[in-house]
Amino acid sequence: MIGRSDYQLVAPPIPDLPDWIIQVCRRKWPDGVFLDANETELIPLSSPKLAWRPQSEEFFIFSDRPTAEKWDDLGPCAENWNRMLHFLWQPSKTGAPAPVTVVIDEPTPDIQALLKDLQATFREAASFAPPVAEAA
Amino acid sequence: MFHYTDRDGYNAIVSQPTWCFKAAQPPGNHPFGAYFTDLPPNTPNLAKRLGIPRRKLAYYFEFVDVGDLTPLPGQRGEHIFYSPSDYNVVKERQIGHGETGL
Repeated sequence: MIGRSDYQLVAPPIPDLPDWIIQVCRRKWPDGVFLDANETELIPLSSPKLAWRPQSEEFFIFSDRPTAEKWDDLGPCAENWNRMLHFLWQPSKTGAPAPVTVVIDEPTPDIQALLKDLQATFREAASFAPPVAEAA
Repeated sequence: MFHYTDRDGYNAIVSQPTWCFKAAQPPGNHPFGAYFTDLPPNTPNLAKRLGIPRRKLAYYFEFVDVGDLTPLPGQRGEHIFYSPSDYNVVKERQIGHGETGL
């Protein structure tokens, strides 16, 4: 009753973490789409509408719209292997680093490179972020 | 607490007065166990959250949680739990079962 694999990253206490994740995923998947876990609308990663979603705490990013539309019917399979990333995080309220869970199908070299890219981007984001107390 | 399964799994579990959820090795990097969630069938994007195809959500079992299940490591553990061995649910804890309509 559970599928895929969970990996843990650590993010600095930045308030707009999904924006940084979306930036990384857009480089990998220019035709990718975003889906908030509580909604049904698929939003292209290139859409300005995503700027309204910086506080999504659980979301999915697909390589492209057809993959997203077929995912529930297919589940994890060869056709969509590692073409959907599932992110879960909670904004830090204390200034402590925040765990980020990334759910993937398999840590292939390609996906491992993406996870490293995400972790490096989180470090970069921290250098731009105001202290949590100021951002609140 | 809920357990989701397909028709074969449903028929096997519902045939016994005490539900027995069999522990097994799931795909990926998850511990051996029987898996459950507190997410009800009408949860948006349930298949994606659990990482399984919709057909494996066709049937549900719902029972009273007594706090003896282990959260999955990581943030999916807020809603996904497991028992490291077969998990029995006696009649007094059973709330409902049937098709989810998913």
